[in-house]
Amino acid sequence: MGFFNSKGEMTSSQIVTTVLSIGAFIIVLIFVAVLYEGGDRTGRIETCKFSVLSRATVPDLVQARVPLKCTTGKICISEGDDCPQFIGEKNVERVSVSGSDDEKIALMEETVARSLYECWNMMGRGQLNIFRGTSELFFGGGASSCVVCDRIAFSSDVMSSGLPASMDMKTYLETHGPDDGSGHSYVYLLTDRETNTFLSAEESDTLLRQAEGSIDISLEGSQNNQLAILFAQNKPVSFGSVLENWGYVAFAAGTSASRVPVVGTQAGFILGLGSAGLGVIGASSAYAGQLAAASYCGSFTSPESDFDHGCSLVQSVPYSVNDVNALCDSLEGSP
Amino acid sequence: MNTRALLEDTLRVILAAIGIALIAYGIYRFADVTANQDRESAKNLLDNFLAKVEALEDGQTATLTFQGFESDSIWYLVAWNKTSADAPEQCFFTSCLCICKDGADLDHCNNRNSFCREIAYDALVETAPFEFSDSFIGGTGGVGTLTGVAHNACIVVPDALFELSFNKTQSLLSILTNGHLSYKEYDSCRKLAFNRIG
Repeated sequence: MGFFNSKGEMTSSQIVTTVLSIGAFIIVLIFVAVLYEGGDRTGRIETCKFSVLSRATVPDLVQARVPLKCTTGKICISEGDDCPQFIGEKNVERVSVSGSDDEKIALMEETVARSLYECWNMMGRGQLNIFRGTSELFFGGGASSCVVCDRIAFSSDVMSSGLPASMDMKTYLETHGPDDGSGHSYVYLLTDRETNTFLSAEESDTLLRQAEGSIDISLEGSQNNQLAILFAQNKPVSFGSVLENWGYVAFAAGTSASRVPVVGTQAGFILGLGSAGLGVIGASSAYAGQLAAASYCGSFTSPESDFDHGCSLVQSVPYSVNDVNALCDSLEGSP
Repeated sequence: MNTRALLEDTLRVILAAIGIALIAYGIYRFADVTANQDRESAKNLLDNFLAKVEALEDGQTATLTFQGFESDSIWYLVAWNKTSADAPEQCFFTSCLCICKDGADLDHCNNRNSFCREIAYDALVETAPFEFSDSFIGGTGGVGTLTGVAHNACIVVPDALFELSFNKTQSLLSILTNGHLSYKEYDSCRKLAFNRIG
C-alpha cells in the first residue's frame, strides 16, 4: 500500500501515523532535553535552549515542573594562572590570553561579548515567558527571576597586568560581531537589527543620573574580579513599575525616551547598551556599567497568562550578592 | 492465519511492547527529575560547599559566594560533630555537614531527602547574633510575640546569591552568615543563645 491513495491524497491512517510519529519524536526530544546534562559549552547551551523552549510552551499549570536545565558556565580568563574564584568547581573553561596588549584586550572583550550574545539567544531573546509558574505563584507580578548564564573570572596575572581596565565593551559590541558570517555587529543583533550604536556615554550618564539611588548596584562591590552574565525577567503589573523593580537599568539603555514602551502596545526593543558591567574592573563612566546589553519589553510569545507581558534583559554585573540580588528576587538554573 | 500474517502480528506486538516500555521509562524518569529538582540542587550545593572548604588552608578565613536555589521547601545547612550525643545516621560517629529539608533537627536530617557529608574536623554553622521579633502560634509557647537577640546554629539556604564566611582551623570549621530568620526557621534551628528583650 502506498503512502497516498489513488487520488494522490494521504489516507486517514497515514495522517494519524504521521501525527503520532511527530508527537512521539517531540516527546523523545523533551525526554532527552530533561535527562541529558550537556557537558561541553555547546551541549550546555543547546540543553538550556531546549528546556527554555519547553518551559515557555507548556501550560501554566505545569510550567514550574519543567526544569530549567541551564547550568552556569565558568570561564577563567588567564595568562597562565588558575582562577581561584572557581576553586573546587567543575567544568571550568579557560580562555588563555596572549600576544600584544591589544590582542589580549580584544580576546577579553570577545569573551564577554560572546557570552552576552549567547545568553540572550539561549534564553529566547527575552521574548519567552519562562518564569510563569514560579515567581508569579509566590510573589505575584513584579518579581524578577534570573538565570546566571556565565561567570567570567579574571585570574590574578590578568588583573595585575591592568588590561581589564582598558576594556571598552561599548565600542567592541558596536564594531565587532559573532563569527557567523553575517557581518553584523553584536549591537545590531542584540537589538534585533534596530540600531548599530549604543547610547553615548553622555546620554547614558544623563539617563542613569535621573535614576540615581533607585537601584543599588555597586560597581566597586565585587572584590573577586568576577562578572556574572545575567538574564533577568520581570513581569510588572505595569511597565512603569519596572523602573521601581530594576531602577533605570532596563530603560536607560533605550536610545530615546520615545521608545520606552507603553502598556497595551506591542512594544519593541528599548535598548542599547553601555559597557556591560565592567565597572568593577574599570568602566570609563561610573554609570555605564549599569546598562543592559540587550533588553526587551513587551508581550511574551507564550500561552496566555495573567502575566503575559514584561521586560527581559541580559547584562553583565559584578558577581556579588549586592549586585546580582539587586536585579534578581530569585535565581533559577544550576550553579 | 498464514505464517506471514502471524509473523507480522508478532512483530507488531514486540514493537508495541518495546515502545510502551520506552515511553513508560521516559515518563518515570521525567517525573523523577522534575519532582526532585530541588533535591539535586541541594546535593550539588552541599558538594560545592565541601569542595571549597577542602581548598581552604588551615588558619584561613574567607568569604565565599554561593548560588541558592528555588524550592517549595526550606533547606537548612547544619553541622553535627562527632561528639554529638545524637547525629544523623549518615554521619557514622564522625563530624558532618548536612543540608536538611524543611527542618534542621535530627528527624529532618535523617530524612531521605536530606544529605550529609562527613568532614575531618568539627564544624559550627551559625548565624551572627541578630535582632529577632516574630509572632508565634501554637506549640508549648501558646500565642504571643518573641523579641530578642537570637544566635542560631543553622543557615537557611535562600533562592538568591548569598555569602558565607569561613574560618578554618586544624580542628574546627566555622561557617557564619548574617542572621535573619522567620519564626518557623528560628524555631527549627538549634539555639546557641537567645536574650529576650521586653
